[in-house]
Amino acid sequence: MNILFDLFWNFAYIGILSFGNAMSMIPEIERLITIHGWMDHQTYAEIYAMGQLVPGSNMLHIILIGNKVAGLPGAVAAGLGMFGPTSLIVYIVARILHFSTYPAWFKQLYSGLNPITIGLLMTIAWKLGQGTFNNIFLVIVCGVTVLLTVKQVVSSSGIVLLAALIGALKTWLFFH
Amino acid sequence: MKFPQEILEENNNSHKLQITCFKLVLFFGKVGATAFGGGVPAHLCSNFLKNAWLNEQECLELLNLCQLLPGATSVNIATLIGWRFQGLLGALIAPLALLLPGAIALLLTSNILITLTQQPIIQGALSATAAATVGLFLGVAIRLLLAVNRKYISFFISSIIFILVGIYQVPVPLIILPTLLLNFAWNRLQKGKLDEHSI
Repeated sequence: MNILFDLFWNFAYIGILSFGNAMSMIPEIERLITIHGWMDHQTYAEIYAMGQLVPGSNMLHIILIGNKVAGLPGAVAAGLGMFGPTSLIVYIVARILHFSTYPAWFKQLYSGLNPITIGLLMTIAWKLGQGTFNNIFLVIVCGVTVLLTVKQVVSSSGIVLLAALIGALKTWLFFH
Repeated sequence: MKFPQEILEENNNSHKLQITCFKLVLFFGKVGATAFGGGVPAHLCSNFLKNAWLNEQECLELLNLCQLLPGATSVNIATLIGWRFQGLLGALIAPLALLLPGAIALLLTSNILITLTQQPIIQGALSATAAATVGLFLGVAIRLLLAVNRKYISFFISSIIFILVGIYQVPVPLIILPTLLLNFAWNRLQKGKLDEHSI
């Protein structure tokens, strides 16, 4: 039982501290799992890579840490810790914002968030792109995706699945 | 005769009424099961726009809140949208529907996945997925930028924020307050041409 609380609190700590982009917390997750002796760096790197193979949030891989430490209950505890408290914060903030009326200066202040949000989207693109673009083919895939997204001709998951297919096909042709 | 904006608002309102818990689960479950390569916030926003659940301005306000609150942005978005359409129950089921497909897939197939990550074909697919996800984020950023008032100034400010956070790795909370205060001061200077922003 103790280990479940441990998992919950540690990932709640990670979740609550992850501002902007949860990916920035990965060094901290690595530090935590080493301190607790839950797994080594090599296993964590493998788990992280496995997380990229399934759909959904990049942070979903942390349930595999819980699973390795304490089985299915551990996975649930880690997942609840990572996503539960922050969802509760969103819920509370949403309720407070909904039931208040705002003075004009608050609206003015808040409108300044728009460029920050767009800047952060560009930052995520940059972080994801680091170490990715090692050939011209990937640059083309990226450029076509930008066009298709702006024009909204194909659904977002369709674009990504198509890219995966083309990437696999290209590797297959290259190896044969 | 109605202006396009009014028709849009009416459409949005009628949609708001129709989004049941079932539709929420279907929508977030579908995105959760098909959003490969991370980038779920970009997938969600692109789908909100495509299904006319939200317009660009509403997407931007949603992202403002969900990116700046702690936690995974995609789960924050699911909580907020679930709450907006179906209250507390929606806030519970929407994030669950988003996370469960991936979580179940991870737990059931972890033994197979670990051998898959070493396959060159899978790695080729993964790097193409990563490149497409970068494009997805850029595409959503462009769409939102096109919908903002004062596009050029906004682009200038967001570029500075990108350089500070992305390249110089300044912590995000340190960026927020100065930017908000500068924007506030700027608005004060230009009192005549304030743009209306609703929350």
